[in-house]
Parts: sequence; structure tokens; C-alpha cells
Amino acid sequence: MKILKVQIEGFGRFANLNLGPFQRPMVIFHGPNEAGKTTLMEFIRRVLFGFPDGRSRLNLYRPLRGGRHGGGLVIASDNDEVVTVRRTSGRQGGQVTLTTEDGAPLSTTELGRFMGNATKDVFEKVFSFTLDELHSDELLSDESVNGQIYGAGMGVATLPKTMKELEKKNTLFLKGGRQHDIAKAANQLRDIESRLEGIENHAREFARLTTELNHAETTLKEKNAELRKRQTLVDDLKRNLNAWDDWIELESTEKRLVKLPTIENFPQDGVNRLEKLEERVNTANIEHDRAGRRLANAEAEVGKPVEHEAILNHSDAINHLERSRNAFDASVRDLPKREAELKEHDRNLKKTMRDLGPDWNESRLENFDLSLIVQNDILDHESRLNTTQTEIGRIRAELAQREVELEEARQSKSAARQRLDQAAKSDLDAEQIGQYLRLIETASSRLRDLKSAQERTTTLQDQLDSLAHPQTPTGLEGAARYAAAVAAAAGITLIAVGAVAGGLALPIGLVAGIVVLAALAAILLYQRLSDGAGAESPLAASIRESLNRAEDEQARLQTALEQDATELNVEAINDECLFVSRTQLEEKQERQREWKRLSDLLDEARRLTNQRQERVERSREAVKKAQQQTEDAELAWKEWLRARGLRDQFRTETITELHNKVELGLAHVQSVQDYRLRIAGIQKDIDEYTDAVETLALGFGVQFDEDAHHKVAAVADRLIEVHREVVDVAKDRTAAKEELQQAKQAAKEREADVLTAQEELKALLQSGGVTGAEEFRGRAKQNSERTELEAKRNRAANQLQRASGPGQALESLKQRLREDGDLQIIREKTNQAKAELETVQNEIGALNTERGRIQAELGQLIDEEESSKLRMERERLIEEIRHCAREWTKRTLAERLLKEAQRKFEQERQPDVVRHAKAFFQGITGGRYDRVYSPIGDDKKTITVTDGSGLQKEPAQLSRGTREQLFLSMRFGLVRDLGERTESLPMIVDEVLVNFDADRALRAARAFIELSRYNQVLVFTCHPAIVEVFQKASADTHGASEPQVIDIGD
Amino acid sequence: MSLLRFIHAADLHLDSPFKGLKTVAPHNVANALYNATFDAFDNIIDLCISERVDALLIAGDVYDGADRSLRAQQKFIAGLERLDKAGIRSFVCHGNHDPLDGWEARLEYPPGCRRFGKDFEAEPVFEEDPARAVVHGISYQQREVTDNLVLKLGKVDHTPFSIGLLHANVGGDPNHPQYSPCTLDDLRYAGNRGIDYWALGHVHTRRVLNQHEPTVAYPGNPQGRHANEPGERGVYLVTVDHSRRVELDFRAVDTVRWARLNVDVSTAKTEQDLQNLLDQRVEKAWEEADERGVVARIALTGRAADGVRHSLRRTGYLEDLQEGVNDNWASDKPFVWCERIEDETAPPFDRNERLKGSDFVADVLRVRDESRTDEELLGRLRSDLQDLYAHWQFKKHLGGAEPAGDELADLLDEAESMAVDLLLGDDR
Repeated sequence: MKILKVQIEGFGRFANLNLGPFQRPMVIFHGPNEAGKTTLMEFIRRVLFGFPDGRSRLNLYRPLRGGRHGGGLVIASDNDEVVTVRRTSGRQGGQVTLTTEDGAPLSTTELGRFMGNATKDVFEKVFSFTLDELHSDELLSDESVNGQIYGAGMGVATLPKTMKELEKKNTLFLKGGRQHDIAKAANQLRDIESRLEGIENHAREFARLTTELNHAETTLKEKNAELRKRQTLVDDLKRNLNAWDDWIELESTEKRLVKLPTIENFPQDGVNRLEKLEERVNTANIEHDRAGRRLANAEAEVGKPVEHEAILNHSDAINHLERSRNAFDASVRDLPKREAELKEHDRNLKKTMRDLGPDWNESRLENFDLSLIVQNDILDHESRLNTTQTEIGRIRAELAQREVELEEARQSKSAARQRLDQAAKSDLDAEQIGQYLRLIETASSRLRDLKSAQERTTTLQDQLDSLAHPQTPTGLEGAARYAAAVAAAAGITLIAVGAVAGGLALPIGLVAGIVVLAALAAILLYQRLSDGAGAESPLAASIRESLNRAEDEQARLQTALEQDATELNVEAINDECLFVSRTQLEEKQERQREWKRLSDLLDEARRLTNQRQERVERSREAVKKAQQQTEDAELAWKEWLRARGLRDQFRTETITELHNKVELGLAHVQSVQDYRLRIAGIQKDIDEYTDAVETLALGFGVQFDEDAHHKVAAVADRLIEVHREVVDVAKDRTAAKEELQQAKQAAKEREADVLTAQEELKALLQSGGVTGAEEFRGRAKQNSERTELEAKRNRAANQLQRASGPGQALESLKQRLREDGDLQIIREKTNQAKAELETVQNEIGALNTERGRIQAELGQLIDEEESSKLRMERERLIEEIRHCAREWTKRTLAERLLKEAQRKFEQERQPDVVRHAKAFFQGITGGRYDRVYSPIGDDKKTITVTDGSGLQKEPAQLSRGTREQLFLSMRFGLVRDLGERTESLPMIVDEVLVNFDADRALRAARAFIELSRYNQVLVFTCHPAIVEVFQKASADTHGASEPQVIDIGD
Repeated sequence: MSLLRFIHAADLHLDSPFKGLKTVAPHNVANALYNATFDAFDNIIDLCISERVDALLIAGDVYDGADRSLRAQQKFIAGLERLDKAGIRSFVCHGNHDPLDGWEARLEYPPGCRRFGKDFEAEPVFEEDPARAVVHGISYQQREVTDNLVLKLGKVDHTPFSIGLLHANVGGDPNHPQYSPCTLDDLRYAGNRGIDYWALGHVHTRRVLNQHEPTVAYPGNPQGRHANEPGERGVYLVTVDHSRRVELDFRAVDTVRWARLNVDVSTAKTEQDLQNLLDQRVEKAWEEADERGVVARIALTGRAADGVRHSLRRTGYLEDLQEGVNDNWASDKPFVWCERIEDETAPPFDRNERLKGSDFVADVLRVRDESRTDEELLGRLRSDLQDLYAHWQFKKHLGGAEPAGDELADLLDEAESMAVDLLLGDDR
């Protein structure tokens, strides 16, 4: 694309400025400072990419010299398609239009095609830049362009990320590091190996322990043999000690036995048996004597005589007397007491009879009915009587109360009548008053309407009068005339503007002006016609019509008010008379209301009096009825009393008292009868006892007075005593007879016992070979001593045999004992042997403990599993180290591969942009820098140059001029690269050569000339020398056309 | 009725640790691992007793020299005592890992056990019938025996069935040290062709070098101890009939089995699919292990879908996957414990196509290609490696030298893949 013309309507200092056509590949805009070079450059940028928003901080370049803010560019595509791009300031970048050479509109989206779809950023950073922008390295950091510089799409974009990923190898191993995985595993491995070394010492330990164990076992064997020997010695000595007493016993018993005679078949336990038999003989003799004495006593007892023995024939009667003896005394004592008590009860009975009345006796008492049925009857009567009495009381009280209320009602009635009589009654009733009041309201309303109609009539009349006689123009007319004046001015102005503006504005202005003037002429014509008619205006007609209607209304109201006056009986209706009439009617209305209230009160008093009179009558009836019921109840009660033979004076309360007395009387009757029976019984007992005593006393010839009870008692006691004595003597004699029989038998048996014992004693003595007891005892003593000695000897011999064992051992033992000859010697020998044995035992114990310890340690050494585990862990750690090493190696090799490839790439395969840039930079610097490249594999976006000595430099390390030359070259590279692929856009530069020395400026200018073969170049400068440089450069360049120079200052 | 039945075992390496485990094993697995060599030995003893064999022959390397723990010796002797009580004889020679000059606890071997010295000795299998079978054995006096010990065997009586018990590298197996090197012919002609069966040890993978006259066999080690010893491990049950015909019957006695599980991830679209593939493969391994614990090293192969590839590239994702597998399987009994998961999926780009390009990635690939022939470039690429491999503290754990040869080539290929993968990011 190239720009053919610039058409500024209004932009900064420029207004209505047309530049072009630009026919050469390079156009130089030359002008002094502030001639507007930057403004022009900005104009081109903004027409192509839009105006900033009005609120932007950027210089808006508002038109200072008039003209619409904006303008256009005529551009031609690489295919020579020409369009005009026009943009005026506005929202969203301003309004843009595209029109073809034929004036046909094009879609605004087509602009992108002409611009090779370059964005504003790309255009401003690459194609259109000022000296300041050239100097900035924003170009490299801009993502929209640096893809081309850094070879995006050539597989290097991910190199930095890849390198970072590979750097993770440092966690596996890092030279000089200590925290990497291999170092950690190696540290663990060192620990494990150190522990394993410790365990390998187990071998030496095992050998040492085995030697110790062998030594311990040999020693143990020797000590055990010694132990056995010493144990034998101790055992022998112990045997000697234990046998010593038995051996001494054996020796002494054998010596004593030799001295004792031998008695054959002496009875066993002879002395004891002899003594027992002698004892038996003595006992038998004593028993024999005792039996003889007992027999004699018994015989004497049986032969004694008995006095009053005959009394035994009356034992039953006397036993009866004895049993009843106490009862007799009690009867004699109680009889007078019971008789006194009978008399007391009899007195009480008689008193009760007297209380009841002369017509009462025991028989009537016993027959009197006191049943529950009777009691119920009494309660029924009592209840009935009480109820009627209570009811009559209540009704009488009610009557009295109602009579009082009746009197109160009568007094109220009189008072109400009196007040009504005193109250004045109105001459009009309430309805009439209401009608009059409504009439007054209607009249009042009509009066107001009349006044209103009168005012309206006056107003309308005034308006009509004023229309008929005008004095000044109305506001409406003034406004119309002012509008007409303005319209006339506008019409003329439009025509003038059109004429001045020319072009399309002229016809438009002309037409608009004519239209406005024509409209004005029409208004004025109409107005004149309206004024010139002479008849009443429509407004006046309208007012007159309203006036007529108002007057008709007024007449109608007056007629109605006259009728109202007649009805209200006044001469004429006015506000005053209406007020007086209303006040009077309201007073009457109030009086009427008061009278009505008092009349209502009197009616209410009458109604109440009548009602209460009726209630008094009803109460009086009720009293009468209740009295009748009371009388009936009392009659029934008296009838009931008569039916029971009771006097009718009894009341229900007193009849209960009568009943109580009857019950008391009945109790007394019962008591008297009981006592009479008891006294008769007592007397009978006394008589029967006395008769029995008398009968027996006569049998034994005892006299006594039967009425003197104490004598009867004494005789009875005497008889009982004699009977007891005779009975005891008889019992003793019977017992004596039985004793006599038993004594005879016992005497016989004891005699036999004596004989038996004597026989046995004799036989015992004979078996001992003697005839006398003392002799027998002597022989028995000798026999016992011998037997005892033999037992001792045998026991000692057995003990020795057990101690020594069988066979020759006993003789050997005896021999040793004889040899030792002293117990003390044996004890000393034994103690010594025991001490020696204990020493050996202790030594064996210690050896056993030692052997156990060694065996346990050996067992632990043999059983330890730790080394197995440690070895496995050691192998694992070695494998881990190897694995880490392999992984690290792989990553390290990968890193190296990438670095080698990177070097190769940077050397051999720079992006096209960089290649182009390199060519320009080489040219501009005269070959001082022979290499330009963009390093890859680094996040930092930079560019590197290498001078002839191979020294690499980054932009910051270059002088300002060289740096600008580098960035200029980079832009050339980008422009060329883009141009190869898409639309070639014009390059627009502002004073970019000022920091270059003359030589490099010329070289740069040549580069521009070279570039202009492909891309249009627009140069802005204020330096004539620069213009000359470009002109010289073009002259130097084969086939290049001379730049077109446009002086803006002109 | 056979002439002789015996078990031929070798390379017990009792109490030697499992190697190459990067991850800390959970408690149950760790227990199984450090008891595995003992458990396998117990299985051998049980097998001898249940098969009522005449003898157990152990052809060297009962222990690892450095790891000859007391526990190992005690358990070894306890096993032999069990055999002795069951009336089964045992014959032991020692190899480079447990030479005679090595330390040994003074533990008593049972009377039925015969350990051979530094020269060939003959010991009848049956004391009551010495002419029936004889074992000729020899042990290493010291670790490094570079002489051909077979040549030390004198003339052998042809009457009894003769067994040679020896720890040796026959035919120069490059995967094992060249101790007591000999050839198959040496064995064939030894003792004037008097040996009927060569019971060998040293090579950990079972193999029969010669079927008959003489039979020459390595039973391999009875318990695999690292990823390069996968699959079933055990002993030979050898039956000799009266016509001296030898029949070999391999019996697995290992208790923990190493397995390398390749999982092709090309069909996985999501992480869940990947997890499911792993689970299926692990389940299969679990079934194949026949009631044994499995230590699995899983390799993801094939070309991963973009989503899965993205996940695999995420730091810690492989560890998460591993944890997922172990959560499901490591606590089972028997367990499958995934020791590590390695991403061996194909690079996510077509290298040849990329090489045709003129972008940075193409330059990376070219640099790698140039490094195959350009020594100077290769030198620059590996210039940083000395930092680690010559480090005084770590070099002893890393084999003392930096990667070279094929190992370096593999690492460079992986590095290239990693670099390109990262460069391409999500834009491939």
C-alpha cells in the first residue's frame, strides 16, 4: 500500500490542506520546527487507525484553524486499487468511510485488507515511528512483533520452559550441593555401612565367646566330679552322726539284757489285771453289804399303820371340795355387792318411767317401735316441714322487695310527668323543620351561583368591550412577527452560506433559504387577510356566545330564588335573611328534640311501673300458695303422731328426745333383769357347796352352822388337809413294798459278783506261777523291764541298718563308729566336709551362670536379623543412587543436546526478520558488525550483535547512534519480512537519522532508498542536510528514483 | 528301584540381599525378601526328605563372602542336621563366594555331612556299600581361583557311579567371573572319563551342558535375587538307574519370584485404562507365580495416546501408578510387589519425519545423529558427567566410571526423546 494524497479538513494547525499526489517511492516532508511534521505524521496514523477518545490524554489535534476535525487519505494497494479513506473525529475512533475512485462506497472492513491486517501497534512500532520511538526497545518486548524476531513456529518457543524443566536434575545431583537426592542417599548408605561394620565384628566376638564357652564347660566338668566326691564324704559323715545315738543305745541295752532272768509265758499286762481283779472283789463285797441294809429298811417301812384311812373312800367328793374352794369364797364375797347393784338399776328404771309419763310401763317400753323405718318417717316429715317454712320466708322477702321497687317506679313516673309538663313544645314538627332547612340550603346555593354568573357576565362583557376597542398588539401577534423576522434572516443566511461554502453546500443552502422565506411570506399574507376582513373576530364571537349563556343562567337563578323567597316567607332572598331563618329553625329543632326526649322518659317510667305492679301481684299469689303447703305438712305430721298413740304436741325435734328416753328405759329394764338372774346363780352355788361339806363333816362327826359361811369354809379346809395326808401315807407304803422286792434281788446278785471276782483272781495268780499277789507283782516287774530293753535294742539295730544299708555296710558303719569313738570328732569332720562341698557348689553355680551368659550371647549373635535388613537397605540405597545418577545423566545429556542444537540454530537458522535486519545493520555500520541474532532458549527478549572481533553485545552495550541503527535495522527486517508475506505498508519516519554520523546517515539513507523499492517511504525532517543525504543516497543507488520533497513550511 | 537319587543344588547365597530394588518394600514384602534365600533352602531340605533321596549335593557359594552371617551359617547347619536326622547324607563344596579361607563360625557340622577341601577327595555316598556311588569334590581355597581345577582330578575308579562336585565357569560364560575356567571337554575327559555326573555351580541360570556320559548340569540358584534372575528357580532331582542312566527333574524351590512385566499402553485412552492394563498384567503374573510372592518390574511399552503420554510426562506419575498397583497387590498373600515402573514407550513423534524439518527440533535430532560419529561433539555432550561420576563421595557407588559405549548411547537416545518431548509440549 502507498499513500497518494493527504486531505486535511481540520487537524491541529492544519485546515483544508491537500498534499499529493505522491508519485515517488520516497517522499520527504521538509519544514522548519513546528511546521507541523509530527502533526502530519499523526494525521496519517489516525486516519488509518482512528482518533483517540475525547477524554484521552493524548494530543487530540483539535482543528485550530477551522474545518471539520479529520480528513482523508487517498491510498493505493499493491495492486493499484485506489480508495479514499476519510475519517472524522467521533466516538469509537471516529466515523470512517471508504470510497473508490468512482465514488462508490466500500465497506470499512476493507481498510484492513489495504493495511495488510496490520494492527495499530505493529504499524506504529514498525512502520511509523519518531526518533524517540526508534530509540525505545519496546519493539523487542512487544508480543505482536517479537514472534517474528524470535522464531516462533520454529520450535524454539518452548525452549526456555524445557530448559527449566531439565534444571530439575539439580534436585538429583548438584555439584557442590549437599541436599540433592544422591547426597541424601549416600549419607544414609554411610550410616548403614557403619552399622554393618559393627555387625561384622560379631565374627570375632563369636570366636571369643566360643573359646570362653569351651573353657567354661571343661572346668565345669572337673568341678562336677569333685562335687560328687565331696558329696559322698559328707553323706558318710552325716550317716555316722545320725547313727551315733542308735549305736550307743544298742550297746547299753544289750549289756543290761544279759543281766536279767528270762520268765516264760508270764501273763500279759499281769499287774494291771491283778489290780483290777482285786478292785472288783472289794467293790462286790461293798455292794453286797449295801443290798442287805436296803432290804432291812424296806421291810421296816412296809410294816407302818395309817390313821383316817377311810377318808380315801371319799376322795372324789373331797377333791371336788378342794377344786371349788376358791369359787365358794368368791361367791360369798360377791353376793352382797351384786344385790346393791340390782337396787341401783331398779331405781334408775323407775326414774325413767317417771320421765316418760304415767302411761308408760316396762311392757310398753319393750313394745315401742324404734325401727329405722320410723326414724326415716320422722326425717321425711322434718324435711317437708323445714322446706315449706323456708320457701314461705323466701317468697315473703321477695314480695317486700318488689313492693319497694314498685313505689320507686311510681315516684319516677310522677317526676317525668312533671318535667314534661314544664317543657315547651315547638310549633313545627321535626319533618317540617327539615324541609325548611333544605330549602334554605338550596336557596343559599342558588344565591352563590347567581353571584358567580353575575361576575362571569361582567368579565365576558369586559373582554368583548376590549375586543371591540383594541389599543396595543397582543403577545401572540408580537411573537409571530419576531419569528417572521428570524425566519427571514435564516433564509438569507442559508443562501449566503451556501454561496460561500460552495460545492454541495451551495444548492443546499440556497434551497433551504428559499423555503424559509416562502414560509414567512405565507404567514404574513394570512395575517394581513385576517386583519382586513372588518367583521367580528371568531374570538369575540366565542366570548359573546359565552356571555349570552351566562346571562341566561343568571335569569334562571333569579326566578328560582324568587320562588324560594315565597316558600320561606321572606321578601327576598339574601345572605342575611337566609342566616336568620336558619338560626330560628335550628333553635326550634333543638326544642323539638328536648321535648321528644322527656316524652320518651315518661313512657319508659309508665312501662316500668306497670311491669313492677304485675310482679308484686305474682309474689302475693306465691305467698298464699306456700302458706297452704305448710299447713298440709303440719297436718300430716300430727296424723302420724296420732297413729302411734303419741300426743300431737310432739314436734319432730322432741320426738327424737322421746325415742332417746325410751331407749334408756329399755336399757335399765335389761340391766335389772340381768342382775336378778346373776344373784340367783350365786346363791345357788353357795348352797350346793355348803350341802357337800355338811355331808362329809357328818361322816367324820363334825358339827357346824351352815349359815356361818366362814365355819363352812374351815370345815372344808380341814377335810381337804386330812385327805391329803392320808393319800401321802398310802403312797409311801406302796413304794416301800416295791423297794423290798428290789432289795432282795440285789442282795442275791451282789453275792454272786463277789464269788466270780474271787475266782478270776485266783486263776491269774496261778497263771503267774504264784499263789500270792505280792509275789505276783515282783515277777511282773522283772518281766516288764526285760521286754522294754529288748524293744530298745531292736529299734536301735533297725536304725543302724537303715543308716548303713544292707549287707556289710552295717558292720562297716559299726566299725567306723567304734573307730571314731567320739561324737564331737564326727561333728567336726562333718562340718569341714560340708564347707568344702559348699565351696565346690558355689564354683559350679558361677560356672553355670557364665556358660548361660556366653550361650545367650552366642544365640543373639546367631539369631540377629538386623544385618540381613541392613544389607537389603544398603542394596536399595545403592540402587537409588544409581537410578538418580541415571536420571541425572539423562537430563544432563538432554540439556547438553539442547545447548548444542541451540548453538547450531543460532548460527544457522535465524528467523528471516533477523537475517534481513542483519543485512541492513551490516550495511549501515559499514560491516563493523557482521552478525545479528536473537538468542533462543532465554525468556529475556533481546537481540545480540557480534562485531568483527567476535565480541557480542546487547543493545544496552551499544552507543546511542549504533543502538538506533540496530533498532532501525530490526524494523527494516520486520518490514521486509512482512512485505514478503502481505501488503507492503509505507514506512513513515520522523527525524530518525539525526543521531547518526554522516557516513552512517548516508548508509542508512541508502538502506531507506533500498527499502523504498518495496515499500513507500515517507520521511519527515527539518534538516535540509538530511534531505540532501537522501538525495545523495538515491543518486548513489542504481536504478533508484530521486525522492519527492515537499516543503511543509510553504 | 534306582541306583541313586540325589538333589543337585548350587549357589544358595544364603542371607545375601536382593539387589536393584529402588523402592522401600512394605513390611510383609521386606520380610519375605530377606528370608527368601533361607526359605528356598528350607524348601530344598523339605524336598530331600519328602523325596527320600540318598544325598544332597551343593556345588559352592553357600554364602556370599561378605554376607556370611552367623545366622546364615547356623541356618545352613540346622538344615543339614535335619537331613542327617532323616538319614540323608550331604556333600558340600565351596566356591568363590565362600572359599575355605573365608571366616567361619565354629559350628559343628552333622556327621552325615562331607565338606570337601582344596584338593579333590572321594567320599562314598553309602558307607555300607562304597562301590555303589562316590562323590569327588573340591573347594576353592581362596576367592579367586583362576586355575582349571578339573585338571586336578586324578584317575577315577569306574566301578561306582561317580559324581564330580565343582564350582566352575564352563565355556567362559561372560555373565559370571572366570573362576576355575574349563571346557566341556575337560569335564568329559576328566579322571580318564571316570565321572558320570558333573554337579556344577557358579552359573545362576539352570542349564544342562551335556545330557549323558557324563551329564553336566548347572541347576542355577534356588532363589532369584535381582531383576536379571527372573522366573522359576530351583534344583535338579537326579535319578540314576542301575544301568547308570541319568534322569534330571527340575524342581522349583524359590519363594519369591522376579518378573519383568511389559505392558503395551497403546490401547489406553485414559489413566484409568492404563491402571486397568497394569492390574490385568499383574493379575496374570500373580497367577503364574504359583502361590509365590512376586517382585515385579513393569515396563510400559508401545506408543502412548496423547492423554496418557501427558500423564506419563508428569513428575511423580509413575510413582503414583506404582503405588496404585502396590495398594491393590502388595498386601495380598502371596503378594505382587511392583518394585518400579519404567516408561519405555516409543517417542511421541516420528523421528524420520522430524529430521526432514528445518526447525529447532530437527536440529536437536541432528546433533544427536552427529554425536554418533563426531567424537568432539560427543565429548562436549558428556562434559558435565564427570561432575558426578568422578565425585569422590559417589563414584564408588556408581561403578567408578561414567557411562560409555552402549550405555551412553542408550542414555543419549533417552535424553533426545526427553528433550524433544518437552520441546514439543502439547503441540506435537
